[in-house]
Amino acid sequence: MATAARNQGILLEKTDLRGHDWGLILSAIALMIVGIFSIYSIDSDRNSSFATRQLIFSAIGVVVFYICNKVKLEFLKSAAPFLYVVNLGILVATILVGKSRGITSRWIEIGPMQFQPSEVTKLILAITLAAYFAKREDKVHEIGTYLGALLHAAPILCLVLLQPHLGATLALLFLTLIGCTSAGVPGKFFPATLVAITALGGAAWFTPGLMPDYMRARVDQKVQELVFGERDPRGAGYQQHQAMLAIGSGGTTGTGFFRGEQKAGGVIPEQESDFIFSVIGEEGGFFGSVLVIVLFGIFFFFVWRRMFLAQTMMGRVVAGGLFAVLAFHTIVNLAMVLSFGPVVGLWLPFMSHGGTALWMCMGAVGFLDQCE
Amino acid sequence: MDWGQVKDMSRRIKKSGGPSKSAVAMTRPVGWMLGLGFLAAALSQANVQVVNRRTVMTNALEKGRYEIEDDLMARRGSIFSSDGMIMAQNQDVYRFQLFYDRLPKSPGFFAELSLATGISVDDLRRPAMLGEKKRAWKSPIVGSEAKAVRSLMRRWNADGVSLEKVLVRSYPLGWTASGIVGLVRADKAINGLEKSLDSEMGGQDGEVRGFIDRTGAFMAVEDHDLQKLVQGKDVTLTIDSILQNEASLAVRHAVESNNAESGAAVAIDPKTGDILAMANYPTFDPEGTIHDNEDMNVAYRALFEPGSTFKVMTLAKTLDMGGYGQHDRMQCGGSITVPGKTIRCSHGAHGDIDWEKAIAESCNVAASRWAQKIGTAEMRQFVTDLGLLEKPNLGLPWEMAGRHNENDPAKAMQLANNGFGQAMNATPVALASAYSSLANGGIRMNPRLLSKVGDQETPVKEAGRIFSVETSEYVRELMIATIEKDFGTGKGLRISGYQLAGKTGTAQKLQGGRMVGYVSNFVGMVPAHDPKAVILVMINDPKGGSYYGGSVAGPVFARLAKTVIRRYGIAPDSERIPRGPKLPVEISAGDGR
Repeated sequence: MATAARNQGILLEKTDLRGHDWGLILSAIALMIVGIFSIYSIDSDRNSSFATRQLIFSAIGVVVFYICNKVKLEFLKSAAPFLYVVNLGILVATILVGKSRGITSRWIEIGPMQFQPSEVTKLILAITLAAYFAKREDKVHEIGTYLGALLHAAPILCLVLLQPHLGATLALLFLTLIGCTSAGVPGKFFPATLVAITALGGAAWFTPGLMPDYMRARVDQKVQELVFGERDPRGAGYQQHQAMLAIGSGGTTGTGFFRGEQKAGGVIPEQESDFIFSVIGEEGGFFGSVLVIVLFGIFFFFVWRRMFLAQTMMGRVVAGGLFAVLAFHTIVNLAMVLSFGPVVGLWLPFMSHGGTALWMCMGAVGFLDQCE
Repeated sequence: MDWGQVKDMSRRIKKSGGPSKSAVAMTRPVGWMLGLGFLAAALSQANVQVVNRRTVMTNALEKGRYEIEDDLMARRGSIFSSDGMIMAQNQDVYRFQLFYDRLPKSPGFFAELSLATGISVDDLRRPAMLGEKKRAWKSPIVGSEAKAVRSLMRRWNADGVSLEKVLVRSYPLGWTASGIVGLVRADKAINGLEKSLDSEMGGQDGEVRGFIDRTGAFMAVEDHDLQKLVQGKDVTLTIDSILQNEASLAVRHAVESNNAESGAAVAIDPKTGDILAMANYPTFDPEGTIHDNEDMNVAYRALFEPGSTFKVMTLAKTLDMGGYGQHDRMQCGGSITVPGKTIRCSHGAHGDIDWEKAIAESCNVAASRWAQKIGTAEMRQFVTDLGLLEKPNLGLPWEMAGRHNENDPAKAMQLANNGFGQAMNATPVALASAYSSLANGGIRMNPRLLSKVGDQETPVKEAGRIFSVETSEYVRELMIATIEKDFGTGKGLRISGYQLAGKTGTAQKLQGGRMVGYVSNFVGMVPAHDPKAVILVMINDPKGGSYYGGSVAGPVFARLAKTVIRRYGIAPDSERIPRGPKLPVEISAGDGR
């Protein structure tokens, strides 16, 4: 790979000596470490072993990273039709045999392991979408290509929405749009797209029975809260309210590692996964949280840079798509934990507890590292 | 890599033409949006955590909907015996209620709830099927069950389960210790140590302000502690649970079989003053209702005339003062006249007696003469030194001080009566403490019931020297004769292998000058040499025919003496005491007869 880069004359843009983008990889590792320590802090109060599991997940994730780093994007381009079918297959399987947690079925059990296919879907969609554009490089400016790309993604999005998993659906939608953008689809198509999406969303909202009640309640709650300042601490706003208390009690410098009281109280549901940032807010305080936000900023700078470094259409769209999905997760998760967005079940990349999510992130880093 | 390079790159890509031109132009705003998002997050953190932290927290508090003030119930301290048995302890018990409109409808939930509580699924669900909104269960569930229910509530998000902590105090030793331990009922201390140590054991309930979470768990906000929680102190007694139990059974048996009004037995370790057992009967069952005076522990709340048992004290005092010598003898003509009264011996004239016989056969004439040698003022001082006229300060409620009338108009009669333990009265526990000085080389120890309250140890304290070592040894030998010699009033109480010391007493109960009954007494030491315990037994008003101390109170002593020997593993005398010159007093007493 290094040789290829040298031949293309962009070796100077590489920050490393051995052909890897170490800025990207190290910032991802730093986020994972902060995540594991935060999870460990939760474990210390609860007789749970999330941190150990997360460590094992990370070890497996190294393999995922290696595979995604070594399997050439050019090869995946040729395998795209097959991957697309696999993608549809696992999503259908999730709905048919998926494991219910609460009211949604998002999980598949494979032996002793549980597996959330919508994470894999994100990786595969980025690749198949990139392959779609790579095969039509000369027709990118045509509206037909753009609509084709939307059609390409639509079945996947619908299947995820049926699980139902609104958060993942929106993440995939964002992936598709940014993927199209980085492919070079003209900007004039987008306003119309946004209008269409809004109209669809509105129709879905007002069509009775289409949206699950929990989803409606959460969105409704957020709207009520933002518009009327109403809060229902024991209902849908409960998690956010507790997170806000935790973050508020952290203050400027935080309570210190292991010392979070709200955390110790175990009052924030899903704190080790979706609400992991509240631990940092409480124990690390303002300085700790800003440090983590800056860390995310550094990571995303390196991700974003891959889009420029990518020389092929395949690499550029994959980089754009993965950038989009990770950034969407990060922003929406932070907005949720910091109470200016609704409660959407989206994990914080690299930090939330969960194997599939972590592997998706590490796999994404593997792909991003080879995009050029 | 800096921004310049990025620009360079994008310029190069633009130059190279192709589709990437608009791509770069379009992705840049996305990057900026992301950056702005992060900036917003950081600003939000600054706002919540630094700038408006107080407001954010106070807003949450002031909305009131999440805020509650919660009483943190202080745990009431336990009471332990010296051997570590629980005498009173709080149990974690919870009142269990269901509010059906806030419960999952799933059969699985009720199945799990049934497993957790031990209440059948049918019983749990029936009220809902009958349309009831809520149901409370009468019998409470215990701590471990409550824990299981709580975890279940979290898993199922079941708001409609209510667990309310209820104070239930258990008294494992039951009626055998209730006279000491007392009772807390409906959160109110009624009697015994529970009452007198109520504030120590009760602790101080705390009050905090905080939030209730979805599972109903309370979450305190540290900044707003209203009242600090102080847990109740544990109390350890000097009481030995085995002796206490045996003493209670023995006293009950004596009271019931002799048809007596009441009875008490006190065992004291003479070296420390520790009360090893303090039993009384009748008494009450902590689980049942209290009738009449059952909650009046006669062992420390009733005053009795010590009667004949006191003769050993009179003799010891007169010997110490030099009124008589150990080898003196006396003629008992069966009566002695003091101004106002003729005092008689109950079984006629004893004739020429030495002190061993005077004690063993309980001669009233001799005791009166000893008292006369002591004198009125000295006798008053003596009774005071013995601690009979003060409250024993055991930490119990309503303790009583004994009585001795300082301004008795018939001083000579009072003095002669005092000689054999009349015209004065004291509580059994005070008397036991007084007698224990004879078993501790003449030194009386302060009686001690509480060995520890919280971390505070009650010190073992000397009350003072009452007799010389020699006198106390001598009188103890005479008390051995009461049991070991065939003419002794306690000869029926021997335990083979062990010498015991004792003195019987049969006091008359007078009411308005008329005899209304008897009090049978016995005081003894187990074993006679190097005693581990001084035991005092009082059986009040036996109406079963027999009323002599030896036959009514004596068996209680004998039973307790055996228990003391077993309990403390006391070796037989032959293995403990070297024969011969170690017991010169006995030899000289024997010679004198």
